[in-house]
Amino acid sequence: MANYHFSASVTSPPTNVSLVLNKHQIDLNRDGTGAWAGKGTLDLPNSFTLAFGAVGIASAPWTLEIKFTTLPPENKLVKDYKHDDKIPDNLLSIFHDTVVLT
Amino acid sequence: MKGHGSIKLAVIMAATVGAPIVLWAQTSAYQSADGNTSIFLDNAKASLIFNVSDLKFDLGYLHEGSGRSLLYGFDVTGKPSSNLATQVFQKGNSPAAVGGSASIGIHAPFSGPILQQNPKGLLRDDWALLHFTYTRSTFETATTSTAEPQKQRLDGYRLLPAYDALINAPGLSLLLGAAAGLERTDNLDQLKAATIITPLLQSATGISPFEVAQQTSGYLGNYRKSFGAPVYTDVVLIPKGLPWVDFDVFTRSNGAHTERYVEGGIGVFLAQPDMPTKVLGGFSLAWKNGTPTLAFVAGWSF
Repeated sequence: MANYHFSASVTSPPTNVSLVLNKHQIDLNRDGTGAWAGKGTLDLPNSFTLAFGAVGIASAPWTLEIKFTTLPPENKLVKDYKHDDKIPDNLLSIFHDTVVLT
Repeated sequence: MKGHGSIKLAVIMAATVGAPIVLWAQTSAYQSADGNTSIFLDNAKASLIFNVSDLKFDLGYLHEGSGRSLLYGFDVTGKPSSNLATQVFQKGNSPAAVGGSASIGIHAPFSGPILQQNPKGLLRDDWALLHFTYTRSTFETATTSTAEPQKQRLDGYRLLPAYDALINAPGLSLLLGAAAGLERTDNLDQLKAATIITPLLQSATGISPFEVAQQTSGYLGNYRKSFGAPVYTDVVLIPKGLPWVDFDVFTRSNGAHTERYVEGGIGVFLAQPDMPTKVLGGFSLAWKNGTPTLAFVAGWSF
């Protein structure tokens, strides 16, 4: 386990989203471009689960991007995680993955 | 009534300009010709809107969090006294005004947590808002040839609770909206927009004749202020197989005893293929107390 800084964003935004990293619910807010965005620091193992959910109009695309970095002052990029998809016909995208940091 | 029995033509153009931390709060493109709606969407990158039939600017901020969270925001609006609508349509349908609005609400009051939703569930997302709007406008009215034109001032406000929901229906994405509230308004839309000319100077005899006059925008008719009970509903149907075509079936009405009206109509909008709620253009056809109203809508964003 080690502390990492993360910065998450969801572009081409759905109407609502949910992001869980290693069982921690992450708060995301609309930023000035309308995308969902959030950042913080988490104590994470080298490998952990990611769960992402989005709701919106069918066929609306979304891109989830999370940058994991070491804490200041190094701020070294450890992982640039990216995944994109479209809202399916049932208006509900749910996506699970395992993130490996190194 | 507005339009005086003939088909009234209006053009609405929505322009959006990106600005960091500044969003045009809430109001969606699914508007009738008078700019009213019950669908409140935060519109990414939007900070300004121009409405050619009723030119005004709108600048605001909206805070919105993911999951079940608090929504709050504000808008500042203004409308010039001489606008493009006057030039294009040779009349203005509302006077110069400044104002603002504030709203507070909750995101996902009834829809469940996203990661726990049933793949076959109906209610995907919802939001409830209390929207308060205040506008101040000044203008002149003329009633008869025997009375001087009167300067009028309206402190208009509207308190409008609204509820919107995103529904998973067979073959369709459905956006439902309902709003009902209280407003202080007037009957300007029933008066005839006019130019009031006040002579200031008349040429003397013996020289080339001329006249100097002051010209102001005003209205002809009996002006009245009243309380209204606006009730707006929208059902926006977005076919899953054709998500860039949106259909908005709407009603607009005033349930108050005075200035009561009922309007119902349908709008057809074309959206960006990959952004179903980013409307590029369309039109709506409605009947207001039996009078047909046709509105063309064109919008763009960048």
